[in-house]
Amino acid sequence: MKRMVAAVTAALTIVPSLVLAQTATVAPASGKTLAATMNVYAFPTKGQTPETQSKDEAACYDYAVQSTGTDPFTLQKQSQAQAQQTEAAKQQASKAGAGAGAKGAVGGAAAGALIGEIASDDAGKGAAIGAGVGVVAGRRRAKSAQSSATAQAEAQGQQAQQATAAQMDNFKKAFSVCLEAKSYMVKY
Amino acid sequence: MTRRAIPFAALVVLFASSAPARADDLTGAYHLLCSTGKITLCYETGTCEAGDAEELNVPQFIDIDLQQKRLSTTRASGMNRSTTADTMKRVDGAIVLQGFEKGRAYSFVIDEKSGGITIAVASTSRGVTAFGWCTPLPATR
Repeated sequence: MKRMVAAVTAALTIVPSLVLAQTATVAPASGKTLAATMNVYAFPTKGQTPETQSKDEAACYDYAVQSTGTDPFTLQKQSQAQAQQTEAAKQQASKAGAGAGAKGAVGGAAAGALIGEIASDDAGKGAAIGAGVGVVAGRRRAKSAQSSATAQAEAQGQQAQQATAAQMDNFKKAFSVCLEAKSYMVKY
Repeated sequence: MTRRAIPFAALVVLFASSAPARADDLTGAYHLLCSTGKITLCYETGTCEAGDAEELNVPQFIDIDLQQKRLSTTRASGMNRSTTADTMKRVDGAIVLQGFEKGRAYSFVIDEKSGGITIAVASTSRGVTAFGWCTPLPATR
């Protein structure tokens, strides 16, 4: 009886450690499969081992890269670079506009003139001569140009992001088709 | 009757206190803070246009030290602009400041009783008028 109890206890101790050991070898270093890093979820329908799944995913990744001409990791970097470019373009547009609007203020700070800088604008002088261009109109135009430049930068950024998203979507399709052909149920 | 009169009086006080706090008696004050509201710019052609303080580079707030005859932007504005008027007079219930700076002659007329301010700036081929309100500030800040 004592031997039996000892055997059961030993078995209970060994089984979880075996399971843990198996899980540890299965799980990738990042804790995510290749598919999961792209938010693609693949379930093995024919009892493929995690190792097989890992190999299949790698093969399908290569297949998708070749068939779409897109590499998601390159796309990710590209997307980050585009976001930075958009932000830089927006900042540049706002700086350009601020320069037009704050021209007098900066001049005022340098010269220290309170009254002497009021309505100080060459565009206004042009209007007085007859060009019909006023200080207010000039500064409003500068503001309008600034906001349209910012909007343009945002629109360009959005277009680039949409293009990147479409490429990524296309890649996922190719990746999924490949995994499905290898008997995985795939959702993304 | 008394019970009815109390809420009525409270309403009157409420409405009176909610009226715009523009009027400000500046009698005896030597340090003012003025804000600009409506601003108009007119050219010799007869064309005029209205704009805001930022568009015409008029400071939104002007700190006026009547003893020093000094007009300056507030520290908070970060503009660091100032000028000293040539003359300052208190005449017929009005505070009048006049000066000249960088090709622009200016007059500030402030109504002592109401705190209303009228600013006129004249330069070659164009003139600026601005209206606003002033409030007294402590002599030393």
